[in-house]
Amino acid sequence: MNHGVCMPTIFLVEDNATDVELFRLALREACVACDLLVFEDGGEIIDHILQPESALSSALPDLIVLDLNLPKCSGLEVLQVVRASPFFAKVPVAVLSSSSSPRERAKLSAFNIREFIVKSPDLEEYLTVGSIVNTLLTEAASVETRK
Amino acid sequence: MRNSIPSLPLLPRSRELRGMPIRQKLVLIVMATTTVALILAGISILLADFILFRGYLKNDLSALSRIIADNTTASLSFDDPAAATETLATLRARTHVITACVFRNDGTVFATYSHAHATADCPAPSSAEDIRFGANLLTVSHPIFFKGKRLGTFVLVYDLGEIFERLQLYGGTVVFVFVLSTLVAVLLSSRLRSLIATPIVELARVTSRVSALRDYSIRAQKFSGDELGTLVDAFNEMLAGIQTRDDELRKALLAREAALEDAQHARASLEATLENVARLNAELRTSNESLARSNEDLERFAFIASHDLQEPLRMISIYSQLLVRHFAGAIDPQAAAFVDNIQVGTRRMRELLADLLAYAEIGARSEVASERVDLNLVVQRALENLALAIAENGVVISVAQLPLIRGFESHFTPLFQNLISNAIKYRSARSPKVDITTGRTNGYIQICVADNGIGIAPEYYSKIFVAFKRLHGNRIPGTGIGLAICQRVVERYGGRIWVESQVGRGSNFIFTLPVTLIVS
Repeated sequence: MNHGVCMPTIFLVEDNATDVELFRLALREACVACDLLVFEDGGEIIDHILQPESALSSALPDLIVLDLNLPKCSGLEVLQVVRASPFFAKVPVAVLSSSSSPRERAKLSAFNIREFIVKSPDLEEYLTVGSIVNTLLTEAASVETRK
Repeated sequence: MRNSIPSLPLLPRSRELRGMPIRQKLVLIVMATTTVALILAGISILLADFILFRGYLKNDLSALSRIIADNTTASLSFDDPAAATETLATLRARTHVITACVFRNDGTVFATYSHAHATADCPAPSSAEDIRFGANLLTVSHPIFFKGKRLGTFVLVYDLGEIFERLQLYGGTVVFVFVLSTLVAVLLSSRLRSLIATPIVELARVTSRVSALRDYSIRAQKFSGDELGTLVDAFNEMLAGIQTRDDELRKALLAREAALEDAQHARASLEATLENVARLNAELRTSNESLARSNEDLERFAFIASHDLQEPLRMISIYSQLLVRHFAGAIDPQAAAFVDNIQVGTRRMRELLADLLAYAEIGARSEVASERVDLNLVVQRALENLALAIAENGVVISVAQLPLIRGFESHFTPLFQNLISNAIKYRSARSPKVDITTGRTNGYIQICVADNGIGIAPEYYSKIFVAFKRLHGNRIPGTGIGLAICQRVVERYGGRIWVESQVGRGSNFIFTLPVTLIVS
């Protein structure tokens, strides 16, 4: 795990390039320093998880931010693979979605989602993503430290 | 009849008698009656005559004996047998006197008389006056007195053949009368026959004709006004009754046949109709299926379109904001105003898409509702969502106690929110009031959202529920889909929604839900 001197790693699963850019902006504005690994498709991250070297603890991210609305392979499938993996199962996951439907949230209740982040059409609201990620990383780090 | 007939040997045996035509029976009855009457009358006459004649003979001979005895007194006194014989000879006039004698007291014959050729002797006298009937002879003994002194006895023998002559005469008369009366009876009975037998024979003839021809219009002829006439009348009435019933029966039969034919026609046409219905049903099913498919396609399209459209819209919104933010100092103020217009446009577009998405989602969720939804909480949530508008307009809201139902909260929140929001949006100059009340009718819960707003004219009652139909243009904000969502939600749960309104007074939006949805 990266803690202290090493920067935390975030896996962002997002197909939309502008959203990736906005996510980086939000992190910058919230002064979150981290390694951001972007997967443009659900399939990509699944492939990554299933690689043997991913099992190394140094390859594990501190947080996965997952857009639910993905082409080819849906966010739900990604979640299933993540939670089924013995190494990734405990990685905190935040979900990004353009809708705030409670029904959609109910579907994900089994996957221990740390945060539901709605992609707001309002800039200021959108940029709160940065502080949310910051909080999650801090929490994750404190859990690690306690361990 | 049955018991009396065998006792009359003249009459035929009962079986033969029963089979006999009524005419012969009548003759037989008349003859039998006459015969019996005549025989009985004859026997009684003969018997009476026999007894009367004997009595008469007795008196007559007794008187005769006394006269002869008196006349012979002198002859006996003077012992003159010749005179006595002469006296006795007067008996010649009585042809049936066979012999007569006068005895002396000592029993010797004093004088005798014998009828010609008669050889009979006088029987011995008896001591007292005596009349004795024998088999064929009658013997009279009469004492002869003179001045209280018995002189002798007169004895007379009388031939009783006379009685039998009389009997023969009477018998002959009876036989003659019998023959005569039989003839009269035969004649009479032939007259009687026409009186009694003819109507009966006629009746019998008519009966056999009716039964042979099955023609109930035949009538028996009436000959008399007596019981037979009544019988004929009754018979004719019966025939009339049968004829009427026969006619009715025949008519009923015809009607039944006609009805049967009609029923067959009806059945044939029904079968044809059923076939048509089956064909139409099949067509309907096919078109329903294709409709359901196209509906599904449409909903999926609406869902995906509205969902996916939100992404670029969000980008337009955010990047126009970023533009203003990043170049805050460098940008022209008019350009900033343009960006604001972009914001207004995208916000409106977002609202439309959100409502369209909600509308599509109601139809897309076809699973059976299993969540428990407290409508009181739903209304609270809707009121929270509308808190700003409620506060700005100073709306007074009252909510009745609402039930707990099975359903999806995501359906009922927009339902109440849209109705309450409309009540506020279409307010009048009065201070707005919204009353939510509930009741029950015929297996439905009825919920009413009543306002005191501007109201709706009746011609728009149904139009307002059509998606994107707006009565007020852009003067009052809205997407025009709110009531369509409400209607979709209510109908999805098997209810109905409608409006009752008076322009200028307010509107009542009323919807029903099946009572079966209530969770007790």
